Amino acid sequence: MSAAPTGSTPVPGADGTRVLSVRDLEVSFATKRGRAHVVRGLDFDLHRGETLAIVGESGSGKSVSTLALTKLLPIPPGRIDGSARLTGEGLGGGEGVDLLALSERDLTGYRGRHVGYVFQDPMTSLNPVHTIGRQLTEGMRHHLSLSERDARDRAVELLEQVGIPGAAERLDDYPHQFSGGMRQRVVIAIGLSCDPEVLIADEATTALDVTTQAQITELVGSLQEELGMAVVWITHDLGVVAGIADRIAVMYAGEVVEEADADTLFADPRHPYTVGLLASLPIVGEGAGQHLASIAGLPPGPTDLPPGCAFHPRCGLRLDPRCETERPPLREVGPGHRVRSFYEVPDDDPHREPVRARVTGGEGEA
Amino acid sequence: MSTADTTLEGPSGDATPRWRQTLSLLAKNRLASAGAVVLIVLVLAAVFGPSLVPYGVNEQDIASRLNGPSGAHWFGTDDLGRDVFSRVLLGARVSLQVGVIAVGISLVAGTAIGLAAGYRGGWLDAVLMRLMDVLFSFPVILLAIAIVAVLEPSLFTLQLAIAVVFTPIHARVVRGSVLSVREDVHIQAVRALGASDLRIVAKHVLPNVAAPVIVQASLSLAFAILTEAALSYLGIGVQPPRAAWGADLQASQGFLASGSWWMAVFPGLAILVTVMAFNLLGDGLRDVLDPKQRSVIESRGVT
Repeated sequence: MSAAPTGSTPVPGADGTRVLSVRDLEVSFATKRGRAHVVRGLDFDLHRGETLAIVGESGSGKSVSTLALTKLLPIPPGRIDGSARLTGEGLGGGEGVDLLALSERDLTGYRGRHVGYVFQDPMTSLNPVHTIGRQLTEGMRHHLSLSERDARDRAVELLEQVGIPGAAERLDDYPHQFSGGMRQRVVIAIGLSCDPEVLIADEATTALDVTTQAQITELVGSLQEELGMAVVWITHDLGVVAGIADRIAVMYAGEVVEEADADTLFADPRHPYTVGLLASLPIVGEGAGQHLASIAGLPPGPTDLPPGCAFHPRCGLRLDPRCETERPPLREVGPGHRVRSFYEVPDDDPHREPVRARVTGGEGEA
Repeated sequence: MSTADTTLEGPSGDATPRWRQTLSLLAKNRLASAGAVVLIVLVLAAVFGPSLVPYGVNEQDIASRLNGPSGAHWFGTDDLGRDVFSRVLLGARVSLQVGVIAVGISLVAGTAIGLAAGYRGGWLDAVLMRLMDVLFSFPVILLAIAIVAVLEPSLFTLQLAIAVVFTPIHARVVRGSVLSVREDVHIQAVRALGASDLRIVAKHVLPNVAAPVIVQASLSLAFAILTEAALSYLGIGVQPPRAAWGADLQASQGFLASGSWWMAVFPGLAILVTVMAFNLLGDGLRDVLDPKQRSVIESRGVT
């Protein structure tokens, strides 16, 4: 149980009202090869209008940690500890509500209503046998007790909001009659339908082509400005993150290794993993024909985590003897900038070169 | 289905309700329509049979027994001088009734079992499906005979026996579909939208497994009618002198050698036509009920 010091600093773009605060979130699954620790002590705060990006490789626990917030995981093999306090108007009388302490039955009233989800693949996240109108209105009728008429009216509004032309006519169409990008717009509309405080976009643009990706991220950005919800954007694509995130949390092996506001993270990464990750980004127009930088090795499996720092077997620096034996704490190295390492990557590290080149040379792209 | 289709309401023909679009699409499929027409005729025969038949089912005309088809007796007469046409017509009643009730019971039971087993999984799935396996492992006729033998032979027992025999088939079809649908992202998505398990099963899983269930049901109707005929043939189904195709077929056996082919051919033909009609309709329904397949048919109509 990590009692991480949590100095939560409001960030530009957010108006400072906290809507969600997650503490000591731990998720593990019972497997044949022992307990798999998928999320290990996650803390984060989310403010109104803020976009938090969680980045990490496959299996770093980024999706699971957000699914765990409303217990959308199979619970007998899985186990969720910690707290996720949702604050907002009329929630628990100003005290907020700990989602993880709620029963399954009570939670259904929060899913979709207060925490909306947008999943990765728009091709499969809509039910093929129902019209999109029906799928859009379902949540509203259930959570907001709207009449069929009102729900349909609002559905048309939502579809217009997410930029679907001819919204009123398209309400009775089936998902297969939409293109991938249009479907993802519908999925976003469903996620927004009950006006949730928090919208979780789980790889929401990964399955889309680059042009559509840009449209969708832009759309979510403008909707966020309009509606003021907080967005958690889960992705492995740093390019997507750079464009939209206020704050970035980098996850590795189930824990946050570095967290900072977006500009700081890109300009001044301190954790060896973040540095490696940023160094591996290609720079347009430079280094053609050269190999991309990469981090050797693979992330550890959740059943056999290495002792000490989870990253140390792949780390080229290992500048502290404690790396192999002791789990590093999340240290505050600047305002709102936290790093889980005993040391910081020195300024003259060769890996920092490409990162610097990116920040100074690659301005404006992404 | 290379029919050059006539006009069809455009892709945005949303003024017509869903079920009418489905019907009109089904009507475009000639084989399925043929099946449907035959079934409608059969249902009418079953309902209005008693007032349509030229002779009573058990009205004997000993003088003209074993006569071939003629103007007076379209399908000829049997060994007791009864009109075969009247008996075949009224036999539809028994066959359809037994088929519909038996399949109805097995459909409800099988779907409920399949949904519960498939959605819940775990021990419930194991227990229910092993139970279904036990039922399934018996040969159909043997199990039905056993059930009829234990209970007392009556029309109700017959229906119950056939229902028990067909329940595992439906349960398996449903469970199999549920297992794959359950893992779909859109199920996860409605869960994330706050839907309860009951709601997910009823509103999201069931409609997704409905197409195979409906197709299976229409095929089961065909098999249920066959089973009923077989059991009646074996003498443990509908009891003579009541008119039933299977029983009549059995009665005709002794007279085939002497050339009275009509006694066997017409009840047999009735079984064949009915079973085929259900199968054709089932195939047509499958095409029309699948939304993806459906748009293929729709687009074929447009171009």
